[in-house]
Amino acid sequence: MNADRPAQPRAVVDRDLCAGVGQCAAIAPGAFRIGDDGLAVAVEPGGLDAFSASGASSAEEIAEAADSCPMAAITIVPADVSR
Amino acid sequence: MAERTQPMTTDTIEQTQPPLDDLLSDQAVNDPRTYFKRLRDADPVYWNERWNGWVVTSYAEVAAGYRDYERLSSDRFRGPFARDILASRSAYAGLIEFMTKWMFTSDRPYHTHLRSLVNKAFTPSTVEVLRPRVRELVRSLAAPLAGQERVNFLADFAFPLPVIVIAEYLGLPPESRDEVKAWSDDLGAVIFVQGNNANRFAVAEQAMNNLVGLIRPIVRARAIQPRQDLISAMVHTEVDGDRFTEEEIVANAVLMVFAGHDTTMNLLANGIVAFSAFPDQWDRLGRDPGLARTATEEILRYDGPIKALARWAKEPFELGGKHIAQNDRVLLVMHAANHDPAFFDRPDLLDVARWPNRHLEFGQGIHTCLGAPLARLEAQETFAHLAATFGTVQVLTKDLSYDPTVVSRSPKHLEVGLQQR
Repeated sequence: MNADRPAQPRAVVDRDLCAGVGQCAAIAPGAFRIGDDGLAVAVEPGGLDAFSASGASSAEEIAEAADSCPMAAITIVPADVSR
Repeated sequence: MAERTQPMTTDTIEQTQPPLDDLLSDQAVNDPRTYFKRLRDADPVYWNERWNGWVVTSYAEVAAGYRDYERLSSDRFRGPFARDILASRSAYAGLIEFMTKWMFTSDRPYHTHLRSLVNKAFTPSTVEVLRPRVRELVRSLAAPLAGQERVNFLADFAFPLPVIVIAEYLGLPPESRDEVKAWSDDLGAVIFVQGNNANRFAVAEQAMNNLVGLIRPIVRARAIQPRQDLISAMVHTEVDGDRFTEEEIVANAVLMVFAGHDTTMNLLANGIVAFSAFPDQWDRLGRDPGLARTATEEILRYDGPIKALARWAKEPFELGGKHIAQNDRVLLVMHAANHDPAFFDRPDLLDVARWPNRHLEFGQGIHTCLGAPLARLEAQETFAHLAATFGTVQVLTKDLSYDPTVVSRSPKHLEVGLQQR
């Protein structure tokens, strides 16, 4: 669905590190949610389009969520290496 | 029952096993790995008649239990754990009132309010700025250990390091260290529910009053004149218009003092005991300080400072094929989950390079240990420096014994021999 747009920064949850604390989903609910197994997932499969138009969280909120993760489980992948 | 299906070398071994329902037997307290293996083999979600609740020892079910914080409550002022506390309410109103403001023992939504205001103070990137200071403290505490025949590891290293770190971070005066230690231990009698201490509420209330007497004037001073410390941050932090009250700051500063030193002290001590049993892993870490992070995770998994935490069911649900009824007590044993062979390859071997290492030592879900990044930092710096400095570590205490609690894994004494490289 993003084929007509340039590559965007993405957020990726490392589920080996995630403990399901839920700070990300509280800070950037448009970008992260707690999945059925109790651990965080980026809302869009395969990572997150930080600038998705569909009511997603802002880039600032996503960066704040990543920085607030107690397990350092969220990585923002910059646009230029997302390919 | 399941024990009988296992191969036994002799009948006497079976006869000498303590009852499965005794969570404070000599075996449960001093050899939890063996005890919890028996329990997991018997039934990973085991009804313990004596404790009057479920004891959960398999990885999948312990993880699921911690993540199911909506149904498995931490609230100690409602439900089956409340009776003791509420019965003491009139006599110890001050103590109980403070405990209602701890994030450790509260559910959503109040928990969200408390935690979101301090979460940023304990993230990995925030505590990373403390690393140089922690490193300096590790070096200055380790230096006098060289050349000692018998090192009192608790008194001379594992206690002072975390208490100095948390006191400095909070902004408490350095000379209060020994008092803080004594008061925190007394408070622990309530938090960790030590057996045979009928007087624990009276002792804990005195300890709480002492800690409050130390901390409240600091909170008021920082309100007027903030410094670069955590109490100042708690006084002045605002998240979406939400702030802490003075009572909440004092109560949670007390909780941090307690939680910030006792568990970390035991993490460092248990690590030394584990490395003494696996000298090749100590040597490996000593030669490659790059292993400090994975080694710390492995110590947390192998013999962390907390064995188990209790919850209670707010509604009925299924766990590991068992029907958990409303108001049932549920003990989630992370020590057992961390040795579950269904999840970890060769769980009883210490491997300082083990990765991934999804141990449950800090819990999971909204109550995941707030101080985890700080505990990790202190342990990484300690293990890396001691292993690089001392080629061998050996436990000298005969018949190592541990405090008789269900929750914490805390050696009573720990004398060690350290040989310089």
